[in-house]
Amino acid sequence: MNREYDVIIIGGGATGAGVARDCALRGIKALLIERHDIATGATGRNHGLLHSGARYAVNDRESAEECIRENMILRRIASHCVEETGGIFISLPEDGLDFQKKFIESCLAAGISAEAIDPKEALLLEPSVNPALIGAVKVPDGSVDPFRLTAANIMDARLHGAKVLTYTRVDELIIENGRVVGVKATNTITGEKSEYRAQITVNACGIWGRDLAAKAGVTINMLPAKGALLVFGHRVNNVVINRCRKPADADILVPGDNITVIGTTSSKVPFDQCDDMYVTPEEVELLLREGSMLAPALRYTRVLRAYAGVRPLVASDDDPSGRSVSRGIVVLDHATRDGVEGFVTITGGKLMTYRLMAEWTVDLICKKLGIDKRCTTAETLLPGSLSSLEDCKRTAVSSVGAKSSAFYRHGSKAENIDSSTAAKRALVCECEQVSVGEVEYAVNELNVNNLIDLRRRTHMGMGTCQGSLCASRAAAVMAGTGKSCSAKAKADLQSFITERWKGMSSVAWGDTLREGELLSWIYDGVCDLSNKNQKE
Amino acid sequence: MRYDTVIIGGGLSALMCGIEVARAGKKVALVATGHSSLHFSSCSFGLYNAKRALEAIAALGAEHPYSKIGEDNFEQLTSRATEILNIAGIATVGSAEQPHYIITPMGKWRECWLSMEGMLTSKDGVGVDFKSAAIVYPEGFLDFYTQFVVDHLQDMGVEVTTHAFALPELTVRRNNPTEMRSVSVARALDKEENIRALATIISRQVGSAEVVIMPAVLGFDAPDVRTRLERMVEREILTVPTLPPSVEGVKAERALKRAFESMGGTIFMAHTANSYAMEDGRVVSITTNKGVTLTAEDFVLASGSFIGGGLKGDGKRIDEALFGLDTVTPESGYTTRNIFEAQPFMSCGVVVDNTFKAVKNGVAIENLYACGAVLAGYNPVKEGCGAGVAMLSALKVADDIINR
Amino acid sequence: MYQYSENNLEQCTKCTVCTVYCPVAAVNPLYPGPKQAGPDGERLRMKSPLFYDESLAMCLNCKRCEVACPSDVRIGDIIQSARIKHSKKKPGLREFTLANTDLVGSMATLVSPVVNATLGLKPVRHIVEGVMNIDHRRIFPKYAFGTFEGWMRKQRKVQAQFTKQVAYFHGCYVNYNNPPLGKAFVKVMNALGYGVQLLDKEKCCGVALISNGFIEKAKKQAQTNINSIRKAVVEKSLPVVATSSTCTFTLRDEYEHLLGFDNRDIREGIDLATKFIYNLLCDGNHTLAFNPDAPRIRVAYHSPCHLERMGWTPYSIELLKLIPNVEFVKLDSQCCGIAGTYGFKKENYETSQAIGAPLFAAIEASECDYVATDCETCKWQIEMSTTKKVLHPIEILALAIGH
Repeated sequence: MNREYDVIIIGGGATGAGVARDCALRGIKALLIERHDIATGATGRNHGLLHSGARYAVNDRESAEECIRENMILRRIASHCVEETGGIFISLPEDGLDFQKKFIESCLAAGISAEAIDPKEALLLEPSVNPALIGAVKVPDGSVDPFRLTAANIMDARLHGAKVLTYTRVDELIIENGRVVGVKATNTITGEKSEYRAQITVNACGIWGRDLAAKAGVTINMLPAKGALLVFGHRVNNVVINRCRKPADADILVPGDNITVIGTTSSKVPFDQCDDMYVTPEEVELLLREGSMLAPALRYTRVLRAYAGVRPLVASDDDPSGRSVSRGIVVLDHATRDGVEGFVTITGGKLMTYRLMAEWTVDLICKKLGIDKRCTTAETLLPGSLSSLEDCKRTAVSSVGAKSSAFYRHGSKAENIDSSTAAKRALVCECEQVSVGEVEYAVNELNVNNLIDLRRRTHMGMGTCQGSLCASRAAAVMAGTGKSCSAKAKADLQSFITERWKGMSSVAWGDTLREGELLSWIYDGVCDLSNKNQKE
Repeated sequence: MRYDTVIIGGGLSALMCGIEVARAGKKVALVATGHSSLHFSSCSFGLYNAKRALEAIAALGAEHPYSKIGEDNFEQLTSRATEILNIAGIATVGSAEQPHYIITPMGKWRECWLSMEGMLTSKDGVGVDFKSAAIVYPEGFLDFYTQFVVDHLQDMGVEVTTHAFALPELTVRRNNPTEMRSVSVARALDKEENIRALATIISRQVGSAEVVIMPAVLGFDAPDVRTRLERMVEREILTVPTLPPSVEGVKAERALKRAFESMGGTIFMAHTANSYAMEDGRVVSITTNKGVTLTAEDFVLASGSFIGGGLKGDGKRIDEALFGLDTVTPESGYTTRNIFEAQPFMSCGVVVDNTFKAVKNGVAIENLYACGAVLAGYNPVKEGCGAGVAMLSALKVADDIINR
Repeated sequence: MYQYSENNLEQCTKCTVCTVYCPVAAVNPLYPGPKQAGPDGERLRMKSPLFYDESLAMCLNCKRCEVACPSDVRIGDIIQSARIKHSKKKPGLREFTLANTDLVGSMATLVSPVVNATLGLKPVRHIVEGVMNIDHRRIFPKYAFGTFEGWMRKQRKVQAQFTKQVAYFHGCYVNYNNPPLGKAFVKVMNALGYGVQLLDKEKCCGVALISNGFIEKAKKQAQTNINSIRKAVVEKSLPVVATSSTCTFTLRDEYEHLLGFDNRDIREGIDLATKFIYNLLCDGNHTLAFNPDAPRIRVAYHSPCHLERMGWTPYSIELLKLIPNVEFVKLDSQCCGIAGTYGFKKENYETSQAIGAPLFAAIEASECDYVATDCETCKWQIEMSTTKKVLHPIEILALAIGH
């Protein structure tokens, strides 16, 4: 295997994937290394909000302008990852309307369309909104699926020659003469160790970037900020609902695919918790309390699960106390900053600006490598992007639900899903309408190593039953593709069910507790999956 | 409406209790929200997970339902439970003295007390008494993964071959992407022509295999499909449970209901009891969400755990849903983060006295009994005693009602 | 700490129980089944109506899925509501004829001998199939000569003599096809000391309009009925009693769940005949003088789907068990396959008969003299598909107190 590259990118979140794609489109030979699966860090653990930028308009004009620009770009290049739901910012009696005026002015100044509408109109537009509202502003918010977005970037990067290694851990940076020249890495599935070399190594590890930088002897002052979110069992709202006030906890309600997400909280957590986030009862209560101010139905709606991510906040270099943090994009050229050549960190920012972050990073790389190529990621459509769901429907040949759902998830790439026979059309996951053909497509084409990866690519097990009925079918189909043996399939199934329950256990009341009981009966009872009374 | 005994619940425990009380000549009504958890069971009944279940049971703490049933009663209650299943037409094998093992859909041995006749079992959980087997399964059936069973059998030194079969009726059915499930296959195998077609396929394909192993989908309405098929292929046919719905579980519930009705029992299906009336410390009546009030001498709460609607959790506490009976919730919360650990909520439930009378505000209610999954003090999944507690506590309660 | 949702869909745990009991999915592989068509599909439709699938029209609205559901999810309502909301298919002449039971009925009863004779003729049935897509094998219920309402008008004086009164919701079937059932009801009520009167204005309950997609018309008729019933129940404190289980179910539940009417003030005032009479017989103040010479008959009871959904089957059963000359047999509860007008449609005929097949076999095997059931369409289906005559429990009761 050829182990020489121009650039090695470490981190398979949206940013890393974006950098890999940008490199590939500019003809730069890139390798992306990710220790787990793609989109497992902060990328996969946020609202999935396609920010209009309105949220930042009052306090951070620069971020607001970046957001609205990227918003419009993503609608075009990633149409299958985006839902153009629109958004409203509502004012409740306790908020008053003072902020609204300033808000609209700031939005317009940042180039974000913002139109005040009558509370009655807001209720017609989004019937779930708190009827006590006294004002509302319409903005071009939407929702974006971060898993799909990252997968599409990865796919395009690979199509243009980039190499992607998941389940590969970087053990150390190879440093020669004060210059990072490559990495030593271990495949965490096979245990195989390898060395990869490149002129530039990019740290796109999010909060884990601090540790990677330390391997190069570089200090980045980061502050892990935990954000907890709740997933509701179905779509409560069809329009993004925000609170029209200074940004605070739990004030955004985002509909995405078949569910609605409320978030987030914000609290500092120690670094050692970043790998295993758990949502506390206090966070759950806060999210429900604040969320039900946006849409009162949330108080009564079934909560499917809770999850949390860590924002990689970066302290300004000139303020070691860490109090002054930047929420903007941070590109660190460690050659100029720390005297370490061949090493670049990209951090800060947000999901919305992943493409811009990648553009800036690759611009820097080009400068360093002496390459004169313009960024084209803002114009080039991502694979799967297409004009509309209605267009896909015309080609639908099997059941309406399954076919439409597949197009929803994969855009025009859904045509690559085999639905030619009844066997391929059979549904594995009934809640999210994932067929055998789609599972096989994901396993064969989308770099799936286990059931959790499969869930990120297809939504299998993300619906109401959280895998009770479909996980074992998926395990069987996956094993049938020859990707795993039955012992591995069982171990995989056990970790999948464990992961599902982890998110349910924080919200295990009412019907979610009933679902949990069913999950336990089936996998620990009927299947006796954790039974160790025999050799495995 | 007026009955001698009203049982709230429609699952294994409720039916067992109902049959026993009706059999003694009482007028019994059963109130069920919907169908029972037998639908997602393996339909093999565990007594307790231990090589010597009865000895392990003797050592349980005082709050365990088995301790309240009493060691001395086990022999006669277990044999009576078996007898009632047989009366209902449910043929079982196994005994309380010596557990045997069934194979799970994941290819693991699981201890059990009673299994349905014809299930693939092992006496010792180590080996089987055949050396070669052919696994025959419907093509495209996703709720039964052959390889799990193949590997398990091969580990025991059995020579295994696998054979997918298709039938024209199933091929048509598979055009519906969600309909290739256990019940659809079972319904197809109700038909004589399909049984014959399957027999032909088996005879042609399985060669010299000693036994034929199939997922438990042999017949839905038609009786004896498995034995008829056995005669046609002149070989033993053994079944392995599938993922839900459980055909054997559905058939067992239906058989128990018929038995109950044939003894004069009445089933209020699709009724959820949502209020009650008490006088002088006794329950006088319950009223359902369909506006029906049922009056009786004795009431039995066999409403199940969370799925059945007997218990409710609000995140902090676990409560009994109808009477607000005394329950126990651990201080440290009722869930843990690993689902494969013993989940505290599984052991939560209502408190009963030593005669299974339910307790409210510390006082046992004279004519309100509780049995089955609504009870506290045991973990059906980890202890493998869900069916055992359901049936034995039901019979204990029935005896008390009959003998008073 | 937390409250529970009113959104019924969320109670679904995906346990698969409903899929076991759907009579349509069991015989028709094109139907997605209650779980997919109901709560699963609804979750998708909340995202976009594009996920609506016209195959939902294959649901016969028997509500067996709701009876089966351990989580009390109103699966059938979810499916029917989705049809009402999203279906693009416009009802045609056939739907109009089948749905407008009272309009067609009132014309047919005037000339019933002609209609009966013609609809009985094979060539005519084939023409009906060709023009209307109504299956030629389907036998139409006979129309009576003269309506029940007409008979009742002549009874007014006699009935007014009773101090205790009930208002009778007779339904189209009693009015146009089977006035003898209405007369049997009047006879039994009179024997219990009750006079029977009609509602001020009764329209067809609308069950067929709803299932055939005439929602606006159904709403109009529902409003008329609700007004009349309100007058009886609220103003005159009269119980409103119906012999038809489907009419009762529609008035009590479908008006609220599918048509969106608030009928809470009158819902408890609408009762089913068997339940009303059984409760009277159990209250200690009412008795019936049974005829000791009535011949012993073996009666097999079939529980109609909508009666099962109401949960009142035990009343009809217990009432039949009270009749001294009846030897009672309970048939396993299962759908007969007709589901109102569903089985009349050509495309549903095979499905309809396949659904009913196990029931028909059980009926033939029961060696009964009569089949009893509370639903008129079950009666048509069973009489067409078996050798047995079907009576309403009230008719069997009336025979037992006959002279």
